[in-house]
Amino acid sequence: MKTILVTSRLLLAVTAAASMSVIIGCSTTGTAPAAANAAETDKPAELAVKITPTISSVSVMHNGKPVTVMRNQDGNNKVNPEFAKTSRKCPPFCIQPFTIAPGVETIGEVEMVDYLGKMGSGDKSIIVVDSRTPDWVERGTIPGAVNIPFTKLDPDKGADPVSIAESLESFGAVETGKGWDFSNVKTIVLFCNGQWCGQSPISIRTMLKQGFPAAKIKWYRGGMQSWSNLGFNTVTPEATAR
Amino acid sequence: MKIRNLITTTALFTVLSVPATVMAGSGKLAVNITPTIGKVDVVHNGAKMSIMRNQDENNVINSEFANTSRKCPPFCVQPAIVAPGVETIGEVEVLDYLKKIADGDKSLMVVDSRTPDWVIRGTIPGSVNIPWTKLKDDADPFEVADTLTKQFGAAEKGEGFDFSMAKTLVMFCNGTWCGQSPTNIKRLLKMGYPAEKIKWYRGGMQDWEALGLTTVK
Repeated sequence: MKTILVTSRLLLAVTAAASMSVIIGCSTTGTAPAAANAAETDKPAELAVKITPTISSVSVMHNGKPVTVMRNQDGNNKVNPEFAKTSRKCPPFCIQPFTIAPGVETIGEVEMVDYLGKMGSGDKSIIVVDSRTPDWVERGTIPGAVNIPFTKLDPDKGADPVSIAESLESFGAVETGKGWDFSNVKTIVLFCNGQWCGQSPISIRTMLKQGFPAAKIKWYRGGMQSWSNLGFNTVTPEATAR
Repeated sequence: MKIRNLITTTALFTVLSVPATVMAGSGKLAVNITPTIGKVDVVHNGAKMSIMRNQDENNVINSEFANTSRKCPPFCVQPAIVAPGVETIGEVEVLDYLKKIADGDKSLMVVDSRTPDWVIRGTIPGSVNIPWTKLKDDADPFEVADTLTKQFGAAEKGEGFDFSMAKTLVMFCNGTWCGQSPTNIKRLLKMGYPAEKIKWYRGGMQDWEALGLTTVK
């Protein structure tokens, strides 16, 4: 039942987005234009490079503007040079384990796109968090993500109690005077630069230490590395502010 | 679940506690695998070799794996989980299995499910190539039985197979956009292969190459 609902919602998003998607093609950076009026489209246009056999694109709001999430349609496109590098020093850029903590689900792109599609359909119970520092985010992030740098969550990285409290409140936690009440928190999907990035793992461990329920935390381990390898579009703060 | 985590932790700890073998012959590397693992020694086609990461910080990904936009279908993005009970794993866990195999554990096998034309361009050292076509639904039943009994350690039993002595398989193909190992995993499950004896390295060659890990031709 749940699956059917999700599928139909995604289908709606595809219908709304697909007519523009084909015309605009897609670059690895920059904003895809707003989804076209669904009424203009009789049936979704077929993309050559879909996400899954049944999902071509989803629409999500980024900084108040609709963005179509899809893959680059140029069969000759190469990965963004930033993510073509294989050999960053380890430490600190070490390969992360597949599971970051007990109870925290590791997800991939299909699950990320599903969360984005739900958010695009008005689901307020999900937040996608880019844990990277702003200098990275400026070069492009996943449409629909909000930037909460890991340095703002981890006291060991200099996060002050006020910024930690602000973040936890934005996640739906409530300060009770006796500590935090996490009973109504949102599902938080965290990512950073991918397999070789320890920033979202730090944020997740910090959240768990504060008492945030593991079942409400999802980790997109592949992060920007896998997102870029698969030619998904990204948005930059400048592009959306325009 | 807890037990499985414990076992994994113990297994990883075992790797960490034998630095003499893990770091054998290595000077100080700049680009390690994890903070405590620089190299992993494996045996590929009978010959010893080491898996490490490319040490040239300017190195860029093998051009075969720089393409972002293969047509979907057929090259669609795979889900994080391929089937219930089949654990998805990453590089650190694959290396742990390879290390155990090199240390003589015969109950494990890392399987490259790709067709040979892909494998000759480079695979994970220590893996065995069993092309997905040998196990697909319309493959010759005798050949399927051969693979199950002679390679995976299953025994023929009446019309089917006894998997009680079957190996734990770590299956991979070209990665996040590749459906070959998922197709094989689904077929194996249909034939009764225990889900807990199948591990899926979803990242496959795509992520292996993106991290500059050693391949062998």
